[in-house]
Amino acid sequence: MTESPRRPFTLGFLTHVHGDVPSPHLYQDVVELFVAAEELGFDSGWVAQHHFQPRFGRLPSPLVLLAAAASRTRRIRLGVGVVVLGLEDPIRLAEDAAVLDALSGGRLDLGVGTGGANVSAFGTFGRDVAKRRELAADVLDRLRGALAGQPLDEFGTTLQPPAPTLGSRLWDSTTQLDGVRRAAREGRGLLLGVGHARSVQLPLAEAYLAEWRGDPADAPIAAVRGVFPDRDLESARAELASDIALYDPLFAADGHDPASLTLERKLDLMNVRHGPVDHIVQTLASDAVFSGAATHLIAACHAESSTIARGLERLDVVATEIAPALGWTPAHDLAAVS
Amino acid sequence: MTLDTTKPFRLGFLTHVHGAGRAPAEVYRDLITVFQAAEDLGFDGGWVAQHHLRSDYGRLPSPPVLLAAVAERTTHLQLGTAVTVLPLEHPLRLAEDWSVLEALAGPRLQLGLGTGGANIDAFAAFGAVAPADRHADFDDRLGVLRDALLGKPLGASSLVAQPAAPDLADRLWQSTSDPGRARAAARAGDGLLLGTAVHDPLTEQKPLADAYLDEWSRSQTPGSPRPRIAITRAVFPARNRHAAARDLEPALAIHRQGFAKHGYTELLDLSTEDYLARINVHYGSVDDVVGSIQADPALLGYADWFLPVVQHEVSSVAEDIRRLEIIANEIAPALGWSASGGRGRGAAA
Repeated sequence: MTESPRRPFTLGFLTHVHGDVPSPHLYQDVVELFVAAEELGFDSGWVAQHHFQPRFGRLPSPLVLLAAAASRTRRIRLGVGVVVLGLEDPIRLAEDAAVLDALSGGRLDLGVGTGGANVSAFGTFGRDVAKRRELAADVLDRLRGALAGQPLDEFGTTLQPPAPTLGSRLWDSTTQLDGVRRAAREGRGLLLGVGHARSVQLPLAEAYLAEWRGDPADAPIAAVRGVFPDRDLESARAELASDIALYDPLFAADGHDPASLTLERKLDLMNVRHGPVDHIVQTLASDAVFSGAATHLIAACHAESSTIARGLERLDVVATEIAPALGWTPAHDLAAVS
Repeated sequence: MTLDTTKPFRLGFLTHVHGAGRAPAEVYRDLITVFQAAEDLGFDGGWVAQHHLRSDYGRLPSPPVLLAAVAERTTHLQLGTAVTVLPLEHPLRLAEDWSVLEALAGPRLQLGLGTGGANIDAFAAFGAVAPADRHADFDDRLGVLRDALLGKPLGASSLVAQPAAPDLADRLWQSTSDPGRARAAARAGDGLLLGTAVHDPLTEQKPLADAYLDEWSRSQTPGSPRPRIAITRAVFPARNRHAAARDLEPALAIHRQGFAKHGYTELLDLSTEDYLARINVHYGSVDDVVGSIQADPALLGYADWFLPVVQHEVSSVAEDIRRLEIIANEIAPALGWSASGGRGRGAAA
């Protein structure tokens, strides 16, 4: 693809809710993050679900937190990226999502996954981690059926409150080709965060588009990217080094020798765009997925050691400098302008 | 046992979240408005009932999601459920939801739990236990929930629930119609929720309260937390008893059908006045309601929380708030209650 201005895209942020502060403080900071992001014009904010994690990934109940965020915002979309399907009851999940969607005026985007980051939790929930893909497929089928208003028992009982449009606001996060094809056939969005942009995510995006029924320009594909602006590359890398080291076991599991990988290489494999604004704009413009098929850019600006406030400083740069340089214009709350 | 009917109580309200034929977004927006109004009126707490798969009456399946929104719009109102249907919840997910809510709202939650008598119709859809086994199932789940809140290692693993909410384990409540289970709640240190509409105050509710208090005094050591009883009653103030009864008739017609479906067919033949008495409704002028509450054999003296229900099947949010005003400004003060704070203006002002 050439350097021509890319088509319009939607801008979101994602946080995994890291931090060492007490949970009341942390969660209130995340709610305030949604308020601040809405003021910056962000189109969406996403939170990840993690179970039993005391330091990194501290939010087990994203829909509860998003209900608080919904109460404090008017426009910004509220995303879960992602909920661990195999640890949920499909009807309870559908109920919670439907209530939140009604409370928030239809602002929910519900990402779902098999729980690659939560494998340690399955046994405690009494679920077989070896079967997490089958479990997820089963829960997803029943979740979709509930949202579509299908009968849930022999008496014809259906989901209440009804949420007939929420089924079209489900997103899959998967690195499996059959998974992305199924997501496309069934009309779900595609969250691409895990795996190298060119070597892993691009083939997934192509497989998804090939299976998408309808205008490919409408196929929702979100590129989830670490975005860490700083005055120069060295400063950005120095700040990220200790956090990236936490991923060595994952690199090893992926067949790499972590010791032989440079920090620069690790950051590239994780799609972490960092350094001066101009450099980030350029690396995003040449990002294999973002520059092509993506309709959404979701900026992850909170590393494991980042405070919520530090991440917000980065989000400010994303909204005011980086995204505009790529052709994005901030959304505005009409009521707030008047 | 001598009952001190001047014992102070906290004043809450309970809503089942009705709103047949209305959009869910409107129903929930109105519900949040009621919580805000109650805080302004000086109420100590607002409690919601969880119902599953209901399209007309009982429209809230997700209390923690709704209460998270309420928490952002209130500062000190206690937020509770009466009840959460424990057999339809995974106890670890429930612990997570309430711990996150507690972190967001502050330590002002009251988690009331029941075995699901009013939600038996939903058990099949959830693939839950056979309704007959739901009490044993409830006990198993409550054990896991309690351990999770307390931050104990879960099962065979060394994992603990995050975030922990150990103080919330002291704010659990059980609803039951079995004196033996009321005793078990006392041994566990949990509160007792009373007031199921078809339970007679004298012959059913009072023995439950007495069993609970008796067991508490036997099993709990001095210095441990005090027993907690929360009692629900429908309260419908109006110009007089006749006017209240006429106002309630359309709602009662719906209410009777609901109970008849659950086997209480004898209720269909009662007169309006007899039916209101049968389901323990306090109604009429302020003086009528005050007198009727004072004559209730399982209320004052037992209640640490008094939870009036002011919403009926076809009432509007404005009517509900008007009834809360009368309760906070006239009825509850006549019963010895005084607002703890935030009082001094009508919610409609």
